[in-house]
Amino acid sequence: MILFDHITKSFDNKPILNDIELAIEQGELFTFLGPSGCGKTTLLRILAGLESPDQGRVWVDGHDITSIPPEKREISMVFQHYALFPNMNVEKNVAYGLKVRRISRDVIMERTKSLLNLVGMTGFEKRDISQLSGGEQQRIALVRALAVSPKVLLLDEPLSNLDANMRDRMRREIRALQKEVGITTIFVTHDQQEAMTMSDRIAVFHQGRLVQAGHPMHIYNEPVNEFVARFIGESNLVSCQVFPEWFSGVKEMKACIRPNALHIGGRGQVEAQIKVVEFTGSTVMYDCISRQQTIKVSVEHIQGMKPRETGEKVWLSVKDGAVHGLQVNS
Amino acid sequence: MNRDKVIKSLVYTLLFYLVAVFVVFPIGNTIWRSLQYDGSGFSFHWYVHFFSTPTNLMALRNTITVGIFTVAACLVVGVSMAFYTSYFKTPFQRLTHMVMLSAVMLPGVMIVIAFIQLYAEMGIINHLLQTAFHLVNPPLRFSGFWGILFVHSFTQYIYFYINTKIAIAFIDYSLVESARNLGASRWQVFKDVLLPHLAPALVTSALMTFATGVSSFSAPYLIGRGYRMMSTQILHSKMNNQMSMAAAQVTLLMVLVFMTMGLYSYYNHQSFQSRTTKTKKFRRVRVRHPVARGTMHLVAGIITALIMVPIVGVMILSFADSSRWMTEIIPSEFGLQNYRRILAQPRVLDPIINSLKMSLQAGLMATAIGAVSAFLVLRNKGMVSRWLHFLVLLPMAIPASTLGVNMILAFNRRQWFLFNQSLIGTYWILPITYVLAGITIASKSIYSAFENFNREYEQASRNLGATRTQTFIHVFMPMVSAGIISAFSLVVMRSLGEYTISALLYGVHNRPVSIAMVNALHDYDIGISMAYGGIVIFIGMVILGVITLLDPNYK
Repeated sequence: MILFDHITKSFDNKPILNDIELAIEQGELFTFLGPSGCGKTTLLRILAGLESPDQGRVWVDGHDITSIPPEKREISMVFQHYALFPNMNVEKNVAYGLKVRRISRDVIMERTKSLLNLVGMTGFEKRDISQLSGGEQQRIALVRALAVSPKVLLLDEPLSNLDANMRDRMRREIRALQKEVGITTIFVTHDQQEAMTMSDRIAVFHQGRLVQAGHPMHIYNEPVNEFVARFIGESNLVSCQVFPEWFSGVKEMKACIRPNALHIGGRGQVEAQIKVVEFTGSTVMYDCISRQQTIKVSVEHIQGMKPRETGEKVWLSVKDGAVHGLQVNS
Repeated sequence: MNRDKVIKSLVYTLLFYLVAVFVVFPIGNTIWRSLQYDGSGFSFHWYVHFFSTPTNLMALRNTITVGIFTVAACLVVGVSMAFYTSYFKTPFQRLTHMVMLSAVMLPGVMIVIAFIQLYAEMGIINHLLQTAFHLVNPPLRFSGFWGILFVHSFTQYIYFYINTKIAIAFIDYSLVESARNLGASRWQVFKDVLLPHLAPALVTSALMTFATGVSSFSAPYLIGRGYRMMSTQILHSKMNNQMSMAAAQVTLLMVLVFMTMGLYSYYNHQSFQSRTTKTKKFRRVRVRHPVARGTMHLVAGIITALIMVPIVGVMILSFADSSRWMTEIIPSEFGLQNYRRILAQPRVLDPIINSLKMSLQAGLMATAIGAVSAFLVLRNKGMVSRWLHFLVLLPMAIPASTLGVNMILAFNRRQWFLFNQSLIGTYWILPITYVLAGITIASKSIYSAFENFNREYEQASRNLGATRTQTFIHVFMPMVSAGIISAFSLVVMRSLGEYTISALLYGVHNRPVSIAMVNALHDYDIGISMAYGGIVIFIGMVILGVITLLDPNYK
């Protein structure tokens, strides 16, 4: 188990991490999610030993590793831009961690071969790094990190340099590989969709603080505050005055309603006018205006069905149990 | 204090000691000497004397004139050839580029001597032209101002050439495309897109060329024929043992070059900023009009030939039998006799061995200091590092003749901070001064290599279990070695044929090849002089090959 015990870190007097306390279980694929500059990569680098915390300790399997140098931590990292050594070919990159551990040549050869086979890159041994595509580099970086059989695998936004199709494919490959190897993995991303599809659990960071941690579905359905609600998926944050029959008397609350939790048409609860219609393929997204507020509604697109027109007046209603109350300014 | 901090403090102390003793002290000492008169304390006597002597004023005026004309001439040669090898689609670009780079590799003095052999009154080309056209007098007057300017044009164009070439490589081609798309003509694209992009590179090149032009020594000394410049006046004062006057002249020349270099660093910063927005690679332009294309090839051919002729001339003449040659216009007997003489007589061979030894020592020292200081400056962003960086780059603003006089004035007596030793007259004065002359170029090359090293590689290596030492050996060194080898090679090459510093500081223990070459020329032993040149060219070509392979700035 990994434990971040009240970690605090600043750079040039600018606070980056503020009293982070978090436990990650053995074998989990855990994601640090948040916008750029929220401190998620710094926390990952503290675990790798590439940064030192100003305060707090880091524990792995009951051992305090805070002062242990990076090369002795048995924690491997896949860097955002992969950091594959350009002066070595594919084989040498994968074998590097084993070579510096003075493992015998035969064992290195065998392990390198099996790892390249694992990611479908047999035959690429002698290739230069510059000859590989983004996805191939990503796979080599991944097996280079796995070659040394680390206790923990860290992935620092490894998919951010890939195109949408490749990202989708690699996401599935990483998840499958992680399950096959069974290694505790921490994944850093700012892409909520990536976090939701891959993770066992997610921790959401904002301005150096850990805002919420939990199962992806739990975070999506029950965000603790406005930031999480807005950051994880699309949401309508509606002031209580708009729907007084639901929250009468609780004026400081906001209601979080996901666009797919709203029904359009028929005789609903709120009258609105369609301002924007966006066809996304599987859904049609409507921006509706009601009492000077924009409400997003997502409707499944059924082939042959004509979407509603801009300017059309409609009724909106909320599906049962789909409203989540939030503290204002929390 | 932990071990790392102790080592770091010791390294900083050593580097600051070295720059304080060999850079700051000699400059300060020279300025101090120029402000002393007859033991009466602080005085402007030598400056008043300088500005009231017509020959000195003429030297100052001539120096600035040569500087300005050198800039203009080198702009034409350097920029046109940079466009020829980078902007236009032309044949033999790599070969032409190698020829253009020869100015970096070959010692200025050697090219001056080659020019003398070819274009001087008794030179081969002058002789040939005179005979061919049945002229009473030789047609070319290769001396004085125009002689100096001719030599400068074909030896000091390198800043314009390299900087323009780099700027062209960094042109964002999408800007050209968008200008054309908005209706701009080719001329408007050149005026509104290319020229503003090239301007910082041209300004910095002009300033660097001005600094080297006003500091030039070997051309005015060997072919000036009474055309006085500040550098030759300094030597004149030194010869007459007027060291305080020399100190004042040196200070004035330093002020001139410092001002130029101050402007250079300001514009260089701007130039760097304009290079950071590369988005689309530049595509070479094909000249379609046959007349324009023919003119372009003709001009480039003439410039390339004028650069090649002295090199080829030295190589051919080094095989000529000089005993017969004095009676012929063009040597007719060729053989290895000059090289054999060099190898057979230890007295003749010694200058080559001395120069090789000293230039290798200078290369090693400058590379070591450059590497350590670049490492510290990049890893520690504090005030101390910034000062170290500034002081290591300071010698760039000191002309060679000035450096030589500074060293004489600073180390012609025992100094307590040098363990009560005097350096003048010893073997080490030349290698140390070569280090000072080469430290800036070494530091810049290494700094650039280190700066381009992505620290994520180091972190990835440590993360994979490698120790600091393993990371240094397997990851850091292989990635920065090109910059280090390039820095070492450049310093070795510059020191190998260095003349100005050598002329001021050499002694019996360290007579270098450049001095031996000039002395042989003065003794009419032209074959030996050319064979010395041939050896230096050979070494230079090997080094040029290494650098063009390794250093992206010269590729």
